[in-house]
Amino acid sequence: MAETRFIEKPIKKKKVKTEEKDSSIEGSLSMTEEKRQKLKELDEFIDDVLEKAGDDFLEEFRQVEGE
Amino acid sequence: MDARVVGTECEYALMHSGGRVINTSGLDSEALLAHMKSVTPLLVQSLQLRGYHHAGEFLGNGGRFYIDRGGHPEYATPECSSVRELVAHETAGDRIVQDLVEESRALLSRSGSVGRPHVYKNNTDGHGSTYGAHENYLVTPHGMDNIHALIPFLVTRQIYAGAGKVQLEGEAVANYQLSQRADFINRVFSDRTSQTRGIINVRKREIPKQGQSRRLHIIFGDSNLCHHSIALKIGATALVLTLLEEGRLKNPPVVSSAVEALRNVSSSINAPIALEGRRGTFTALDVQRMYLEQVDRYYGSGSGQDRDREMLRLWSFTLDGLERLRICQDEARLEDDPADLKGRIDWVLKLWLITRTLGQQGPGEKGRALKILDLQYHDLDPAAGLFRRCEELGLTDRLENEATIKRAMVEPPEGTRAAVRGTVIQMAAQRNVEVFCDNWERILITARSPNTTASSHPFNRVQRIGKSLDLRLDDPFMACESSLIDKVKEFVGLWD
Repeated sequence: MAETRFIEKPIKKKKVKTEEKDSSIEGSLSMTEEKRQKLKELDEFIDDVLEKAGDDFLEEFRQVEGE
Repeated sequence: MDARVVGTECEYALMHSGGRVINTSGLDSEALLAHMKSVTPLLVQSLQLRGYHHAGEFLGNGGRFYIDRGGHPEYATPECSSVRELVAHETAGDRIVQDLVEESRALLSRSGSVGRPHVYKNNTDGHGSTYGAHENYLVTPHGMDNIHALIPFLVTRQIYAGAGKVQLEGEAVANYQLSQRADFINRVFSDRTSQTRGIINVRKREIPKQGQSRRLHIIFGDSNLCHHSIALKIGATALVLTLLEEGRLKNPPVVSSAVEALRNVSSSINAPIALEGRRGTFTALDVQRMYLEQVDRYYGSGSGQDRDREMLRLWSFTLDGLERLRICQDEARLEDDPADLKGRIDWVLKLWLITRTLGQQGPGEKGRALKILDLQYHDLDPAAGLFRRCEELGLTDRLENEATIKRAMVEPPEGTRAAVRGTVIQMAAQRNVEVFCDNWERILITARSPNTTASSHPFNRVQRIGKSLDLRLDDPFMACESSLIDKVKEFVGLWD
């Protein structure tokens, strides 16, 4: 099993503001450069996905009832 | 029961749209279905083009690919006898379906058509339509007679088996649900699979013989992508079923209103659940622990196999992790995940992705972005799907590696009749015989045309053996014995 431990357990639980989310959830202080790069790639990928979804995407995603 | 036959069926969402030329947004169900029917034959055609051995809908890996109600491509795994096998084969199904979609894109492109089809492993389109992820378990008569004791477990297992869903209320307030399917379940038991859906489907397709094990068909479950979610959904359910069968589940919890409870839990992981005959209220986690404790006691006494204990540890670890998880479902936000469940549980991973992205969007864009992320999590295309991208970046924990999954795309699991089915289909490929699988329990091999070189001598074996070979697979555990394979090999060889 490939263990993926890219996020460190936060030392202290605290109520976070939205703009602080990265530091609290990712435990960024102890992140390796490789992990940081992967997360950067992920963020760029998500930006790209959001940008590529056309204006009608949500309306066009329609399915016929299945089981 | 020493081993249990398990299998899953997944209905995928097919999306084919292409700007102004093909726009599905205004289509009613009938027109939408007609449009899907113009694309789905390409998927079937792609089976051959991509070199998958198949006999009609049944594949050389023992599974089944077909187009189901509503134009949904569907993959049913072969019968598996372990959770790990099931994880490999369900994921193999995802890979096969994506492979067929890619071939279909090439076909469409060559014919000058616009639009690129995509396939999604989810359960709702956000416009009120749902499509299923069904589970099948072989259960003894005693287990089936007491199946009602499984209901509270099924109602609450969504805390690790849910795939997550964003439901927007108003402009930018999102209620994040654990389950995709909870809103569409309105009965505990039902013999129907559309409009009225039960947690357990009791449609009697086959009449059980006295004393024989039967198929338990669960239709309240989400389509999972994370290996751990798939494994826990199937594995924990199988462990509880064993206790039911052995008569070792004592004083199981009874949920007063199961359908209401499953919807409440989906909307709030800490929703109070009233249990009959017990004071106070309980959470889904409490209910899961009631089952876990009894399963732990049973397997702690030395019963079962190593693989059962592996599943037990996974279940226990996950419940501990969920206890420490901090989320705000009303605002679709993950606040703290000390056990790192985001790499293992679908709804947690999706919520983490949403949380990462939320802060980067303006207020007007937030709602739209949430919904897009929700859908794109399930796109099986690694170039467009969020789960697949996380997997490729190594941000998910896997139970089975890529080599095992690739093998499961073409090879049947061992230990069930699927091995017979898959082997026969592979042996007959490109030979002068046709294989018909009417259902999961029968294989008919028929000669395509008489062997023109065969002698008409009365002692000629071809003349005596007949033009077809009928194999019955009534026993789900039927072994793929060499004598049976030799018999098939001989028959196939005669007609070449």
